[in-house]
Amino acid sequence: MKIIKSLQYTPSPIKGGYTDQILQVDLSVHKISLLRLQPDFKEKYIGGRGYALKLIWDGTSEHTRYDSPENILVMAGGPLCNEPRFPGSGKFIVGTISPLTDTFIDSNIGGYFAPILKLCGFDALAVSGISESDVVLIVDADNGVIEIGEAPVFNDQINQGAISYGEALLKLLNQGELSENFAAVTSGIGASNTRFGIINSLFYDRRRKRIRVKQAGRGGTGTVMLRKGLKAVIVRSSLPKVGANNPVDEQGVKHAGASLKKVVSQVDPQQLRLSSWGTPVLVEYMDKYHILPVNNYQYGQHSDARAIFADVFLDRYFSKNVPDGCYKGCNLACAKGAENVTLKLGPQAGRQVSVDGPEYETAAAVTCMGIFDPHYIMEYNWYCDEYGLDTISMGVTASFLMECVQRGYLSEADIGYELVWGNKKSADRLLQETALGKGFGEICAQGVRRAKNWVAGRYSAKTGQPLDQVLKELGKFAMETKGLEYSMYVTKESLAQQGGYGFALKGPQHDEAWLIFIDQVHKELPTFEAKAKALKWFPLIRTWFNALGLCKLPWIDVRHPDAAKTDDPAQNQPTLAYYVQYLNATIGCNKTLQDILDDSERLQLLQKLINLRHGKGTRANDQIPLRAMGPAFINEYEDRADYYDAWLMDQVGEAQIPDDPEARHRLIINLRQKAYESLCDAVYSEKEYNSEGIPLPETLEKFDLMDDQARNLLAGLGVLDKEQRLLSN
Amino acid sequence: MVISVQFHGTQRKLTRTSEIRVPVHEDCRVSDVFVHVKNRYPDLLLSQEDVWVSVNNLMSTMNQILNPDDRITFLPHIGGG
Repeated sequence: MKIIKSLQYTPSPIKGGYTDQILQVDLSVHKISLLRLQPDFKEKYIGGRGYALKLIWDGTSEHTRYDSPENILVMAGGPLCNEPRFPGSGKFIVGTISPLTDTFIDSNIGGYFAPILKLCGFDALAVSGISESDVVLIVDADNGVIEIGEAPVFNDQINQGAISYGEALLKLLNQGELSENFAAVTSGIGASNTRFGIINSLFYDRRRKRIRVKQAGRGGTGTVMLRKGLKAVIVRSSLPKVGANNPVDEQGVKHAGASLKKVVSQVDPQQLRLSSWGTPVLVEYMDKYHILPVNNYQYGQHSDARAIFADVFLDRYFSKNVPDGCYKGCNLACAKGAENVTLKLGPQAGRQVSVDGPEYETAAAVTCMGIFDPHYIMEYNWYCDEYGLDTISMGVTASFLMECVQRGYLSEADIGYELVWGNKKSADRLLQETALGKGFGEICAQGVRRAKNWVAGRYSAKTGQPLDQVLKELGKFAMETKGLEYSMYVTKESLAQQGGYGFALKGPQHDEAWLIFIDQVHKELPTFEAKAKALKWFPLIRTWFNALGLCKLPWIDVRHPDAAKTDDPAQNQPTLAYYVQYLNATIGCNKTLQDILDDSERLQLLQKLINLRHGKGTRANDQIPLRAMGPAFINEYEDRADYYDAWLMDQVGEAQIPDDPEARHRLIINLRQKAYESLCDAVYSEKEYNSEGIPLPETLEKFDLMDDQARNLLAGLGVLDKEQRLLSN
Repeated sequence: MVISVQFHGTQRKLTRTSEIRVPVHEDCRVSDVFVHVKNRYPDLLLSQEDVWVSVNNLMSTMNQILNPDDRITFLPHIGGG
């Protein structure tokens, strides 16, 4: 490999979870620099998402787009990342300006990359610039060198594949051997050709004796990476991982970790059994409660869904008794994998591959296209990972296009082939064309929002219908908000989850607020006020996890037995106490749960400011498609007419229910729209925003965020003066 | 009268059935059925603190008095990761 730039360095030691150093790389000029952080940086921005937000807030502008040279691709763990004695500590955040949303996106991802990056002496990696030719970045703590090298070229199949390329590169750099002391991030050809490219995190699993992968799936981070000309980043350190954070209170870390592991090992077998079934176990419950996004979220349930319940994957595909955690020491170990899966479709049909997954999101994304075939889900999972595609955005965009066919907005002539629900061959053809940038795949590659505009323009020109009218109709079932495709729940019957998606700063991804089960199924948010409060509290605590380098599942999916005795069992505060102890013991502080919520609120507000800067931060941007609120079309009402009639009876009383089914449908939609608007008002008030969803100046002042950029932004939005007038009144 | 208990996910795997029919006496409560299921399927590791009761797909409680043909599910905690 030809080395373009090389820098000798001495890795910074980790103290209290931090190295206090960021690795900065400008690919336009192939410059490598080490940024020493001032102590107040970590105090205010914590790590992970917080670091990504601050670097992007300071280093980009309202004019920055995903492919601008000044856009920054940040990869950051956090102070609690890299501690095998505590479950779920291998997480890191990839943050950048998104090709889908044109504002800040971040996606969390597991694997060994961030732990090893920290062992290499860095709390974060920040990549800016665009390289003229493809390069790889190698951070080698064992040899004390950081290098930018020309991206090695292998054969076409390897060059196009995120997993294949990463594995070949890892072998190349280690004399043909794979090792736990190396980790990589890569993407594939699909990320080059779409706006929803992912970043794969590759690491060597000794038990499986192969490379495994996890994904930063949402928002097109892989697209940004490849647009920068960055084919891969490799990190290397052979330092031991246990105790590597050099915590201030060693015993405190051990106690917190042991306590949480004990709860996980005792309680998970009585609850979801994620450790043996993985997240696909959710699919069955989604189907039962009408929240599986069948046929582009039209229906929540399907008679064929039984074919893709988790036990099918467990019996036919998943390796048994292999604890597939995505980082060392996690006893929840919910990741699952399969070996020797023979591909039946696509250009690699006949090849046997290893599949990491599926997660429930991938299975659900396939049901979005009306397909209920477990083998197709395995293939879809593998191709998307290998091509570097987000399984969610791919499935939701494909299903939007299928519904355009169903409702007559697209025809076979527009597409070149029949694109209908439940057809594996056409779904696979669209996947291949999308990844390879061919044919109708070029439309799908743009994501739902841009595909909607394309379809509307074409249909309007063909029929003479006004463009805005067509866009309005398509908007009812174009499942995106802020430009990001919906995550995998039908939210029609959960107002809390409607808000969870609508208010999510990055767009409708459950990572910020996954309330659907506690709201719709467990009924733990019975009142409007409880939903509004949850829509402040849960995004705050979830943001905190993303700043620390931690997985949320041991907290939120394994409920502590003592939680039932607390005022708000859904918050699972007995388990959160272990996390607070772990934080205090690692970095040497004495924070309370309220302190960490306050820390997190600063990050949420900073993300809100970036959204406002990029034109995505107001009430208008929190609006959700009609289908997210209720039955967008009469066929959806008719599918559950008894349920909806009972719901109407409860809302307005028998006397007010119209006889005409279409009038009933209109009344439901009207009530749902009103409820969502009321929720906006209530949540903005909880968050101390104004009625347009913009933070009040004093809210920003409270969190020390009113810098010149924020002041100018609010003044430009006309908020500063207006709010000051209100305050003086 | 007869009611049914539905099993999902790991419960279905362990019980090897998706539903059982259980004859019960009048004024039978969910808690009585819970004890029956717990004794019949000890591998389920059910505990009252860890399950949500659903009757006819609506959330309910252990104290609910059952009617003929009611469908009961003992749901695990599902949080959201």
